[in-house]
Amino acid sequence: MPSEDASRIIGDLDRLAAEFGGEIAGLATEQEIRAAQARYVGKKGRVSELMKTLGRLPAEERPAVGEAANRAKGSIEGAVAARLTGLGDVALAEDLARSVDVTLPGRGARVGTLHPLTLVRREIEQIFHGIGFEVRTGPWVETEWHNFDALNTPPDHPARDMQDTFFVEGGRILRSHTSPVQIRTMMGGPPPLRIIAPGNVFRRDDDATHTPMFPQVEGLLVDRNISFADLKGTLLHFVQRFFGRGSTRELGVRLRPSYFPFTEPSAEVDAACYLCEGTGQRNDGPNGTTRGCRLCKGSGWIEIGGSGMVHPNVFRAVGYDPATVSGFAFGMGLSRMAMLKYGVDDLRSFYENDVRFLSQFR
Amino acid sequence: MKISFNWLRELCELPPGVTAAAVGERLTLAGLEVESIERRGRDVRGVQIAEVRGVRPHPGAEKLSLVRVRVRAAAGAVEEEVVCGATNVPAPGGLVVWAPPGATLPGGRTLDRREIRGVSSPGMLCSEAELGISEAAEGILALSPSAFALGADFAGAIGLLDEVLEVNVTPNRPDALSHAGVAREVAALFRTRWRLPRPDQITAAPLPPGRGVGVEIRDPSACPRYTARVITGLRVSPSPLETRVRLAACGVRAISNLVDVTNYVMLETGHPLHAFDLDKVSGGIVVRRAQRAERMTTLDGTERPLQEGDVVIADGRGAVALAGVMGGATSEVSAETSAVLLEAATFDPRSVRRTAKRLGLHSEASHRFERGVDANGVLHAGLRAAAMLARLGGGVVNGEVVDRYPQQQHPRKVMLSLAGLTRTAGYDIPLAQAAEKLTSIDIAAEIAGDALTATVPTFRPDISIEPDLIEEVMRLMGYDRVPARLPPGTRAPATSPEALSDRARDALAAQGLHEAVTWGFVPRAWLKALGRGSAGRVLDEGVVVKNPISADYEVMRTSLFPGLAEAARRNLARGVADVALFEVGPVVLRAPDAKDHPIEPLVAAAILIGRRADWLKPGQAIDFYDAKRVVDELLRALGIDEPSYRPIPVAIPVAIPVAMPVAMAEAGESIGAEATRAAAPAILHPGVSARIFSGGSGDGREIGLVGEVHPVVRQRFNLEQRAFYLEVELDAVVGERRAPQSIAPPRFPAATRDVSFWIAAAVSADEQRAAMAGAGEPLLREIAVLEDFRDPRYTPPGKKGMLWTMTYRAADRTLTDAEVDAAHARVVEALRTRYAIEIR
Repeated sequence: MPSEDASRIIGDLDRLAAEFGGEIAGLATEQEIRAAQARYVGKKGRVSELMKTLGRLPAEERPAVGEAANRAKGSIEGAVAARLTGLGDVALAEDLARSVDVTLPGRGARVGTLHPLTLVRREIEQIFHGIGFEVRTGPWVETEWHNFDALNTPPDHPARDMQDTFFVEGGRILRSHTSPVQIRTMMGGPPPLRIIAPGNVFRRDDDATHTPMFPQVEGLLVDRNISFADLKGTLLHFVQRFFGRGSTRELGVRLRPSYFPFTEPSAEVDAACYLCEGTGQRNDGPNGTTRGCRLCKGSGWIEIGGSGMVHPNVFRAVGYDPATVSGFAFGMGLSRMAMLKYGVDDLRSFYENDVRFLSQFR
Repeated sequence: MKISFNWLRELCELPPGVTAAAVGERLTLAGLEVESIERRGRDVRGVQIAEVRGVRPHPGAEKLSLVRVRVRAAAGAVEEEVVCGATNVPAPGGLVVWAPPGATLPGGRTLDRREIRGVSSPGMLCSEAELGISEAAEGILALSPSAFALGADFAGAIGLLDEVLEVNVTPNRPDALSHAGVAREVAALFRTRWRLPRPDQITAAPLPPGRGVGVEIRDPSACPRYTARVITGLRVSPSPLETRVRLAACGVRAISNLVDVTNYVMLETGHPLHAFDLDKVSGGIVVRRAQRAERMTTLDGTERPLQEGDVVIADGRGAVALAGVMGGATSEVSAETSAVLLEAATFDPRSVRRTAKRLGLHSEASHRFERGVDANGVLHAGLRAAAMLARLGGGVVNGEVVDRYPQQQHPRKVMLSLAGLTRTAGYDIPLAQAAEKLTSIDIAAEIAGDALTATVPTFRPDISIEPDLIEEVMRLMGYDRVPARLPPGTRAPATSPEALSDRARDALAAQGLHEAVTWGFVPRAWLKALGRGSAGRVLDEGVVVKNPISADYEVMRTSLFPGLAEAARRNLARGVADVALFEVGPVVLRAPDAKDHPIEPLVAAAILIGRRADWLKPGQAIDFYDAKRVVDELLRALGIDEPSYRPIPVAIPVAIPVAMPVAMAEAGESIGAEATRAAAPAILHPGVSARIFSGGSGDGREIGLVGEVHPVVRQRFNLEQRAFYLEVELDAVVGERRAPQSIAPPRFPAATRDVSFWIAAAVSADEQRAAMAGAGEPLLREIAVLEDFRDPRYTPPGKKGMLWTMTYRAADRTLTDAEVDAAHARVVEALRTRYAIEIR
């Protein structure tokens, strides 16, 4: 039979445990619960205080009281754990109840854009870089010799009318094409060479389809035994990569005889129209009817530039021997390529710098 | 060159069913690009040729008559009575043009049966104007009875129904500037035959007494051949209808039979001709270079000063024509002309081109002479025209032709080797096939072994070397026959010279700016608005364009600022509120010695106007530090991690008044290089701008500038809001960005301490930082500024409040609070020793 003291202590312990349960039921934060826990089972807590009286009991009664104390502590800790879990569930549920309007825009500064003429230039450079062409550039202000004479276009040659030239002070001109870069490159070192020369050129033209400054890109390959077939293959490679993305059939290239003083034979370069894939027809009429392609005007071809085999006189001008080396050159207008690629109708858009136009080219 | 398909078909056989479009396609693929095909005469439909049977007065109108005409109906010939207001109705048997009900005329007019003053008229009889042939509205068109069949469709019968090919003839092909030349090409392409029309038979009459013509060529290099014929007894009248219709199709206005014949023969043969009024030419003809200070009046009535290189045709009194360019007013044919001297000649292409270009006289004749007129075709063209003149003008050709041909032109021999042909074409073309192709365009070819010798006629001046022949063979074979292959061999291409500017572009776009492209040339006033610039860089004087299209493109840009400012202004004017534009490109600067080639430094520049990006609402107005951040990121991309920024010394008067006194620029020079350079950002606000250096604390090269646009400059460019501008000279930024080198993250925690104090406003953040770093405290790892506080309500006069945060860390242990406090005290003490600060 336990003594009266022992029975009282055991009763107190049980009561404290029950009291604690009641107390924490009303607490809403973990901090308060922990504080309450400390008040009961901490070093100076009420359970600990009770246990200090344990020493007064006879030794044989202590195990029963100790057991009751452990029971009370266990009950309190169990209540704390349960209460905390409950609180966590509530907090989690509350947290998960939050929501946002996913249709509002994302935060942060917008990235800017590169000019479509830059994008097209880079794409062209990359395509040619892939087959061993390196980029070369040259000055805007040129000598007539580099721009014309060295390119087999002597003074009073009617071909000079093909490009009405700007003259600047000091007897110099603004280059009317990127071809002087060919001359500068060839004079700078021996063949073989493969270059691509992008840059602005200047001609005295200013109307709906001409701007007095416009970007061109020029290619030149000089080596032994280079033929017209190499020119055609190179241009085909370019056209298929530049226009062929997403095309269901291989786009072709068409060379048409033409005339440039610095090439012989010369050719205009047509690419198969990428919109109608060279058929000249599209099924975009009313109710899916077939009609002529608007891009190539039904011809199936779009003109992209000029080309040809380097004229022997050009080689002579730069000190190359036309008997041992041959080569081809080609050139195209970047504005035209950008208009074709991005569906830009008005050439002037490229120079108006309207942010609403520019910001489309992300 | 406009080529009439009707005319072409007269000169060249075509396989049945070949359309103008098919001819155009073949020509295009052979190098004579047909740009368009104009269908003519389609608006005159259902109009027929009718025969006049009789005329009686209109019962209800004095000025009208009733013309009875025989016409063709479905059932055969019938008679109709048509109300007509003309007074020139031919006598019975004459032919007129009847537009019956249902017929259409130019302008979309459709005829019907109409009651005119009580008489019902089936359609009408037409004038030339109503048929769209000429301006002649007086009277109806009467046709020559022998030439047309009754009831024939009018548009078809007179050649109104035609298709005109617009051929873009490249400058190397003077032979194709004629119907005959194009016919030769078409015949070769379709493997048919063509013919040059033979001149009409003429019976030469003797020269009338005193009308002999002497011709002397003083300078054979100016005129390799000159022929002249005299035709007398001419009567000036309009040309026959078919001739006029044909000229109109080719874009040439009919004038009179005399003039029209020369144009007709030019369009047919490619040889320009000129007719002088014989009665206005006195003495013999001399072809010579113009004399110094010589003048002449061309037939457009303008008196023109001549230069010594010009070639003129002169008579005893002086120049009567600018050779190959334009005739003279004094010898011009007129309605009274009865005798002409017909010139068929060829002139030096370069001289003609120089003269025509200088005088701005581009004519059909000069166009051809510039490209080269075949001396050996001159005689034929002259004879053809003389005979036509005699026929159409009712005159006679007198005496023998005068032919001066001091510079004989001979066909050229050009070799073509099989090896050369294969090497260029890239595929095998048998020599026999090459010879056949050349022969088809009248180039004789003789094969011997592995080469052929071509005899190139003089009408092909463009063919002189082997590649020229190769092109002829290849284009006639068709470029589509050439296989496509990639050139053999590859080489690793070197890095692009554009790599640096492209990195700058990427960095600027990544900062939210949009790339602009502005003109390379600008109005002079724009450069003047920039002010003088520095000693090393003159901004307000650029390389001048001597023949600008307009004042907008007068001078090469010396700065990217004007173009960007203008682009920004346009955007603001269009309602775009926030403008952030950049451009990367060259500027053009005069070399220190004007004789040297200009220099073209590559510059990256940007302009910023408006607000910072915020979320859902407008952000704060951008300021200097937004622009500086752009520079920082740009430079980082270019491999400059620690640039420094220096203000412009305030002592230098960088503000430029609207009218800048010259004295200021001079003062700048005298203060020395440093001060002059400081004046560089004259386009920027003196207090809100900085010069940029490539190295820390003002070391390294000066590479650019950044700041607020000077209010005066801003006004000049019509920018109403504050704008910020930055530019970095890329050529000054050499070297590639190196790969970043990794440092292991620290293993022990850091502790931070803040310090807040008042300090003189003039002490820059960099100076404070340097003072604190100067403590040499080994535990100090980072100094970061948190605040620059300048609210006048709270700040002591002349002071600013600064808040810094310092990071302390040791590499080998966790620091104790006491260690950190001690280190921080040493750092603050170092600052206090250097500057008077008051801890807040």
